[in-house]
Amino acid sequence: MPRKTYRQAINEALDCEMARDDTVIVIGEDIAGGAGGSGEDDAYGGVLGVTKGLVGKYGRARVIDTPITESAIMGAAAGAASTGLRPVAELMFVDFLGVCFDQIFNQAAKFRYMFGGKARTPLVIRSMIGAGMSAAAQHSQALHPIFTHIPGLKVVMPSNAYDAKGLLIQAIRDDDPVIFLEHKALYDTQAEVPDEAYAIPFGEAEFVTEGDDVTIVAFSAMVARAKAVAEELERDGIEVELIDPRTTSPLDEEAILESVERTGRLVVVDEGSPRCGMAADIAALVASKGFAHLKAPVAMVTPPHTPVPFAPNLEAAYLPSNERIAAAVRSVLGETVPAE
Amino acid sequence: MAELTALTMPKWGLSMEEGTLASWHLAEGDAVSEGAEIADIETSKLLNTLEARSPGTLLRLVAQEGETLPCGALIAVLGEAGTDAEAVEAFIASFEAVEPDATEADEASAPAFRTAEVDGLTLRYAEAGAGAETVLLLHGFGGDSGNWMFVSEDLARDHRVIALDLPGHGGSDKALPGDGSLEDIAALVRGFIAGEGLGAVHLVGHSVGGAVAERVAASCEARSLTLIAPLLPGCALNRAYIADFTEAKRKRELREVLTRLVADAEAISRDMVEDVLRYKRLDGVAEALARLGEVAGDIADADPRAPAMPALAIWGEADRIIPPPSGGKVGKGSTVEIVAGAGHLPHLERAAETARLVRANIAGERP
Repeated sequence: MPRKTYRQAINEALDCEMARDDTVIVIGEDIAGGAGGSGEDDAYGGVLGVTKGLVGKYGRARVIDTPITESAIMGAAAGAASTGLRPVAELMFVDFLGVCFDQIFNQAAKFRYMFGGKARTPLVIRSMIGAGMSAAAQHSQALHPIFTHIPGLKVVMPSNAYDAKGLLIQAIRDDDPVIFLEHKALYDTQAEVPDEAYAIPFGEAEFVTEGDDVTIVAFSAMVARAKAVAEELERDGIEVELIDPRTTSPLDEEAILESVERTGRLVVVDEGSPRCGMAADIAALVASKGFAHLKAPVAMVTPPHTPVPFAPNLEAAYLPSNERIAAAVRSVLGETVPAE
Repeated sequence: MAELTALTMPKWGLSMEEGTLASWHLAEGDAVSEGAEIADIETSKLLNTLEARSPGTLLRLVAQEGETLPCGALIAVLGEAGTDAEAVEAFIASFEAVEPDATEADEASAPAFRTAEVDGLTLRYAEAGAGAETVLLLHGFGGDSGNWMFVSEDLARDHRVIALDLPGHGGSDKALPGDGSLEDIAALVRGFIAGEGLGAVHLVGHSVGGAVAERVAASCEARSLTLIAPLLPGCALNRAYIADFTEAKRKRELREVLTRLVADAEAISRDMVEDVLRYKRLDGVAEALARLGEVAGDIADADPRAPAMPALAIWGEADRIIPPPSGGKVGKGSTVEIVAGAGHLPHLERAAETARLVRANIAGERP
């Protein structure tokens, strides 16, 4: 099977669905390469080249460049979704979604509920999350918990190229608003990705590794770090069950609880801020529904409660490291871990 | 200097890149006869046994149990008893691992994927070997040409072997021909045989692929017919398996379903489950499987009858999907062979024995 990058996988998902369904449109800044002006078509294909080639195939009526007006992009996309199209709106950095909260939180997320189930809003919002590229505090946040908090939104966090294609196809076919969060550090990572179209259901966690000693739940780019740690610990005889929920809303609670029931130990690794974040959410889930199975307190490995630093060394220290993840695992297993 | 032979990590199937040496059957110094079981090799699919192709003495075990090595890597050295240890060391030191399909000598037998257009559908097939006669392998429900990975290399030693992905499966189009009936699929396979100019072929079909092979044999000249756990009219098909396989969407759920296929549940690897799950997610597969499930049910409901031509039928003794016929026969002129220690997949679980039976039938020496 061909190996493809995360970037290619997302591009293929868009291509597959635009070819299959002519109501699918994409809309965003520079996605056609010219910002609606006189620039060369397809010069960039979005800020990171994800939409490259689409304007040539589907034309400017379906690949719509916009000015830098995030709130207008989201408003137009939500409106288009409620009137029969399937827009995929790209909003470069998730950090800029703050100006679109009304369009997303107060409008699109509620249409189905407020219209008694009669309204559909098949809207996908693609955006980049994450630190690790020295993009500084305004371009590096992982804001997935904010969207997960809002009823009516589905939130997807692919951790690899195979999942990215299948989950984006599922997102585009979904009749509700979906926040699709791509980690910028993953765009060049590769995996085996079929050429054909396929859909991965939401709310179905992936068991990345299987083991009986400790459960790790990790999201997005943290999955690869946790996997590296699991492989390292396996050499010491520690068997880790690594779960990638893939979607935070819906969340595959059953997979997490079933795993903790077997292992009795839980470490949650998340790049989001620690307060009111996914790590806290999953810790609460297990504390309330799986407490009897716990043999040790839940460990959470997250950044500190600070903005993302710009300096590379500080940014590296901010992110959950392999060492911190390994120390958390050893800690819940009862091993004495030296203080940092 | 006595001639030394390298035993290497085999490459069973196009997707195999490495294997794990699960256990040695023989020790250093043991005499090896042709066909002797040397080691168990764990692939990403299933465990298989490596057999000796030439006699000799096992001079050195290079790979350790539990060690994972790429295909073509040296795992042991075979030669004459009493060969000087320094010569063996020199041989090991000078050995250069090569992919089996990368050498000129093996080029003819190297498997490759190809495609053919038949009645508007694209069909993928894996081809290996060369010879005057062609063996056409047809997999079962939910499978693909990779299911033949352990036997196709054996058959390809003196035949052209083609393992076809049936429509709805593997790398072939996921649409079914016509209304997806058994006759429509058999007609498509006949079209493939004619289009590729294969002439009269040796037909080997497993399960639903057995039903297709039997229908192809009914209306197309065939040299021989081998049916492995075939879905024959009136058979005792386990319909719950078909329904559960079609419905399973989660890995753990699917793993339980797949364990019903084999005698030893441990044989179902994590990668195998993942591969099947990935296949089931492809557009069009759910529809194709649903229709084929109906077709399978119709065949099982039909009045029993003998195969269209004398056949060898091979069954795993522990087959829980289509149990061996209670009377031990599938019709006049046909033979039934039961393979011990296998379930519904004897060509994967007991590949060497199954390959021997198939070869005998192809050679007209039915057991």
